[in-house]
Formats: sequence, C-alpha cells, structure tokens
Amino acid sequence: MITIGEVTRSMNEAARSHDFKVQRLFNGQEQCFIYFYESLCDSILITERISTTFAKSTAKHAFEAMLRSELLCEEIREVSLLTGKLLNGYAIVFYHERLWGLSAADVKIKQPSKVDVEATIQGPNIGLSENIQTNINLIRNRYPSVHLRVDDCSVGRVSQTKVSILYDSSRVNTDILQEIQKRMKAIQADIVQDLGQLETLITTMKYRLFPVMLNTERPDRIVMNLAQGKIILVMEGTPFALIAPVVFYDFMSAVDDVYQPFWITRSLVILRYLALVTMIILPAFYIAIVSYNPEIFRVQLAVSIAGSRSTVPYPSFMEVFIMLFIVEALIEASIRLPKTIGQTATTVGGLILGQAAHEAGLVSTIMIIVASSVAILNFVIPVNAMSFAMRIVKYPLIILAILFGITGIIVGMFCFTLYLASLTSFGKPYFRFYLDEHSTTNYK
Amino acid sequence: MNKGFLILLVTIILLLPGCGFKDIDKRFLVVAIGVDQGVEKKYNVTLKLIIPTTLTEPGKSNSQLVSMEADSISEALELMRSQVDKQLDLGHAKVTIFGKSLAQKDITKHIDWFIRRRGVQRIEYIAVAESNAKEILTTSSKSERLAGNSLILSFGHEGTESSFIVSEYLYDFYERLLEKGRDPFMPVIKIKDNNYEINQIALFDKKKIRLILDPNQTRILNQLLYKRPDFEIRVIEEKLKFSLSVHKYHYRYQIHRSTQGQPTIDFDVRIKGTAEESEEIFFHENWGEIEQVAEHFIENAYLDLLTSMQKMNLDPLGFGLRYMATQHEGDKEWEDWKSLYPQVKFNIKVKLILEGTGEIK
Repeated sequence: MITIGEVTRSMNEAARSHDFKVQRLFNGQEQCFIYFYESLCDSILITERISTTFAKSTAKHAFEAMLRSELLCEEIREVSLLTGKLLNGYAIVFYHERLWGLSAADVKIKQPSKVDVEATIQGPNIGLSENIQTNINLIRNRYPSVHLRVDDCSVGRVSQTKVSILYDSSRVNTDILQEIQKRMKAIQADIVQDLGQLETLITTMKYRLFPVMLNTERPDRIVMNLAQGKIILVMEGTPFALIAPVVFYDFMSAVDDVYQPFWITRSLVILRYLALVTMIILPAFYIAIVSYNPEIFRVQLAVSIAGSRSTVPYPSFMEVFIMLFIVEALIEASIRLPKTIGQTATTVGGLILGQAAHEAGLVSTIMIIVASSVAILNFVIPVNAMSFAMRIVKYPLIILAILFGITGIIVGMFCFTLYLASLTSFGKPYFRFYLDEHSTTNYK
Repeated sequence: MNKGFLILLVTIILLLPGCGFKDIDKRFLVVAIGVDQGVEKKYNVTLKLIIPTTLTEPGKSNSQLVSMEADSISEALELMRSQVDKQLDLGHAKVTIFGKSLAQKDITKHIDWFIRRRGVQRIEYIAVAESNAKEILTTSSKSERLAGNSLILSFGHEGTESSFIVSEYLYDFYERLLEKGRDPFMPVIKIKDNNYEINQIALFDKKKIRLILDPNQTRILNQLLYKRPDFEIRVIEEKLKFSLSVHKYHYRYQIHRSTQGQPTIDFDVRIKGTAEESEEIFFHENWGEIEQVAEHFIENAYLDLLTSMQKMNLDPLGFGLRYMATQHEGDKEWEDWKSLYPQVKFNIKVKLILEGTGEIK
C-alpha cells in the first residue's frame, strides 16, 4: 500500500518545475491523482485514456479494471521508480493506494529524414530519424531475423540518454559485445547527447585522431554490417548509428559500392585511395620540391613555377600556410552557414580570394591549384569522420617537408602508416581490408 | 625518456635550418653547360641560365649566359657565383657541350667533374660542338619556348625523331669510357643559319675523338645502335634511284672465330618498307629485282661504315663486349680480341621486303 504522502514526497523536486502537472480528478464518487510532465507527454492521449475513462467508470473499481486492461499501462510498485518513469514520458495515476504508469510520451521528431551526409545517386534514400524506436523499426524491417537482438541501456548520469545495442546473436563476436557493454557501463559523463561523444567515451585511447567506429545514417549500411556480425549502437535524439568494430577500408567504401558493377566499383575505390594519398602529401610535396629538389619537375614546369613564384616574397611554406588557412577556414565556415549564404561564401572565398591573393603577389598560381585540389580531394573520402581526420594529417607532413624535404615526407608517411597499423578497433586490427568476415552481399 | 628531454630534442630539431632549403625562385636554373678550351687558362666554362617567366610563349625564351675562364670547372663555377644574384642549380642541366678542341685531347679528365659533382644528373645529354661550345649556347632557335628547349627536344626524341640525331647520355658515355670492348661516342652540333644542325657523330677511343662520321654513316650507325625503325634509305644504283621508307627494322649478328682462317662477324639485317619517291614508275616491274638491287646497295653502305670504324680500331657497337661475353677465358679474351678485331671480315646479309611501291596506277 502506498500512501499519498509518500508519493508527494518523492515528487517534491519535480513539482517545483512549472511544466509538471498534478491534478486531482473526481467523478462524483471516487477520486484519483494524476502526475505528468506537460512538456513530455501527449495531453490528448492522457485525456482520452485516463480522464474520459475515469469519468465514465461509475462503479467501484471499474477504473482499476480499465487501467489493467489498458495497453502501455503498468502498475508501479516502488515509489523510488517514479521520477525515472515521469522523465521518460509516463503519466502516473494514483488510484486506491496504487500507482499506475501510462506511457504517454510525445516525441516530436519521428519521421525518418532523407539521407544527407552519405547521399547516393541511385539507392535507398531514407536515413535514420532522431527517434530511437523509429530507427529500430527501420532496421528490423530491413533485417527480419529473430536473431536480431536489441539491448537497451542508458548513458549519462543526468541526461540518461537511451542507447540501444543491436546485434545478430548468431553472428556477433561475444567478446566484443561484452567489451562494449562493459565500457558503456563505465561511462562517467553527465550529459551524453551524440554518438560521436559516445564513441570518444567508450574508446580507451585518449589522444585519438582516427575514428575507430563508423558513424552512419544509412539503414542499408547498418543492415549490411549487422549481417557481418558487427555491433550497432543507436541513440535517442541522433539520426545516426555507430558500427563497431571497423577496419580502415570501411571508411573508404560507400554503400553504393555493392550496388555498382565490378569495374566501376573497383575504379572508384582506386580513385578514392589516389585522392587520399594525393591530398595528404600534395602540399608537403609542393614545399619539398619547390624548396629542396626542383630537379624533379620537368624544366618547362620548373621555369613556370619559378616565374609565378617570383612575385612572392615569402618562402614556399608561408605561401602554403596562407592558402591552406584560407581553405580550411572556408570549409569550416561553410559547414555552419545557412545554405543560402554558404553559396556566396564559397564563391567569395574560392574564386575572388584565390584570384586576388595571386594578383597581390601573396601566393603563386601553382599554389592555388594545390590548395583547391587538396580541398576537393578531401571530399572524395566517403565517410565524413575520416575526411576530417585526414585534413589534419597533412600538417605534420608539411612541417617535416619544411625541415627535411622529400626525406621528411617519406619518413612522415612511414610513421603515419605505422601509426595506422598500430590502431585497433575493439581489439581487432584496424588497418586492413576485411575483418575475416564473410561476404554478405555476394558481391562479385 | 622524460618529457623535458623530448621537448628539448624537438626544439633542437626545429631550430636546425636545413642547409638545402632554397626556394625555386632563388635559384638560377642552368639548362646547358658548355666547356671550351680557355685562352689564358685551362677551361672556358659557359652556363646558360633560364630567366623564369610566368607565361612561356613560342619564340619568347629568355636566357642569360655567364662564362668564366679558370683552371678547373669547379673553380669557374665558384667564380661565376659572384656574377649572379641567385644560387646556381645544376639539377636541371640537360645538355653538356664540349668544345671540339677539348674533345680532341683527353676527354676523360673533363668528364670526371660531371660524374662526381653532386647536383649534376647523369641523365643529361652530352655532345661535342663543331667549333666551340659557347657559340652553340649563344644561339637559340627562333621557335623556342624555353631557353635550351630545342636542344632537349632534339636529343630526347620527344619533338623531332630524326634518324640523324644520335643522343648520348652522360652515364652511358662514362660507362663506355670504362668498358672494354665498347667505345664511346658523342653527337656533333653545328650551327647553320642560326639553327642547330645535329647530323654527325664523333667516335672516341677511350680518350679522344678519332673519327667523325658523315651524315649518311651517322644514320646507319644510329640504326645499328638503337634498332629504331622509321627512317629513310636513299638507294642510288645505276639503273635505279629511289627512297625507301622503313617501317620494320631488325638485325642480328654473330661473331665466328674459327681456329684457322679469318674471324668473321655475320650480320643478318631484315628490313620492311615502302618506296616513297622514285624517278620512274616501277610498279609493273619485278619487285624481286628491285629488292635485290636495294639489298646490295644497303650491304655496301653497311660494309663501308663497319670497315672504316674497324680501320680506326673503334667499336661503338660493342663487338668486343659481345665477344668477351661469349668466351670463357678470363683476361685473355680481351688480349685475343685486340688482335682479332683488325682482321675481322664483315659478312652482311640484308633481307629487304618491299611492301609497296607507293605508286598509284
């Protein structure tokens, strides 16, 4: 038996908030109390399910029978659970010294959105939504298997963000699954609001450059990885999912790779790797060749570079820093800008600034080509997290090129490769093409 | 290793300025080097420097010549540094030209600097000037986009693919200088009407110029050296005069050394081509006869070249090397060959296939 005093005391803290509603309902014979957060619950649903039925049930205990038969309604036997339920969008009914909770959560964003970050030309076009149930619904529809398991948990001491771990129980690597669950439990943060943050919290490495989990918004990619025995994390309020464990190649592949014919896919993969390598070393090579070993160029090119550089009073690396700074600033600015202004910003920055910088004698023509191609090549990498990481990698190489020329670049690339090879993703080697998984798509 | 030490190490490394750092616009790119016999001192070294421009248009090449007399090439270069405002960069030197007077003395001493000097690439072309190298460097052909470009294009077989131009790399020349049984050579550059003319070849023994071939012989030697098709043969016989354009060319030779009698080198040459120009129409005639006449003519021309080289004891084709490679007698092989080569008899067999007369009925 629960007394009204106990209930009131447990809700003491919550009741101070203005969006918390306490209401006493009276139908002429009996009374009941109803508690809910106005901002979290659907008041129409509460009216319909509780107040209307309460008004109609004139016989004694008729309302209790109604509550028992109500879907999504359960009895709460512990007063201590109350606040948690309330915060998850439950309406609490106190009736005849018993507590009932009705799930009346009103989630504003339920609709899955169009894929935005990982767009394809021809292929599935709907991405995840910000609602976890919708997301699991999307995934289950695409992966109708009894082995698909959903484990719920919450992270963040204050935010209590709902996270679901999805996996195929017949294919998953249980060691990795336990490892992930263990690390999720160990999270100490107060607020967890995004999967990127979650990724950082459950990776042991403190200074990390490369993503070790794949952040995706595409249900088809998720399903493909589920079938390979990988583990998927979806979070309430984020239209993305995390995939673990991953290898480097996953970040270089787009989902459409399995939707295209063999030669097209292979050529595109080669193109991406070429773009990656060029992007990393091009600015560094510019410095090394222009300032240390101009004999690598053909004499014709060397002369025109020397000519276009003759107006530039600074050494080559200053030129590189000026241009790359402008380009990076442009990219960074255009991410945050509204789409309408973004267009103008890129035009002003890209065209006018580049041209003017050259005419003012700040940079050479070749440097403008280098800077803009680096910017474009950067976007060839299909997964955003990786292309951000690769943007950083070119800077250490530039410094090595300034100090040691081509030798520096080669040593730098060597160290970079070693670093990548030393990484692991949940105990699995990272720098390889496949994780010994079988091909689920039977792609030829 | 503690953190302080690491920071110290990084700072020290960052403070090292690196002696090689010099921007491309602070360097003078040397495209060609000319070495002549000096009047007062041993050498007169001339460098052709490119003046960089943003726009390179045909005929608008800019260059600067610096020249200096000194007793050694490196000294001359050292002196020249005080004449120019930027660092001299030899990395782009594509052509080195020696004056004829130097080449007629001891070339080995002069070539030595080029091999040892850092920065000079061994893939540069070398040539000998008919008179002096400075004159060659002063001339620049009218159509040039870049100073020295026409020389590079001619030797690189990128632009013109003339069958008269034999190009020779520095490394190959050096190898030939050292190799027994394979003699060095250099193309000869002349000036004609303010343009370069490269159609002769100078053959060296291991020291100096011994023989300069005429253009026709140069062309045959070029065929023998590189087996490159696409050349013309002008057949001039009593009955028949015509030009043959060769599409396919291949030859083999074998050195026969019988215990008694004369050693022989048997050439087996196969040519396929069409007649391009003739004084009379011979479509209806027997092609077999035409082929025979031409074969005979080519055989004679080959024999002429080979015997003239043999007379001077020159061996640019590497018969000696081939001989030594096929014997098993150690150092004695070379001694043998030295006595054998002057006695060698050349047997040349040409098989010509005429693919067409190039005429329309």
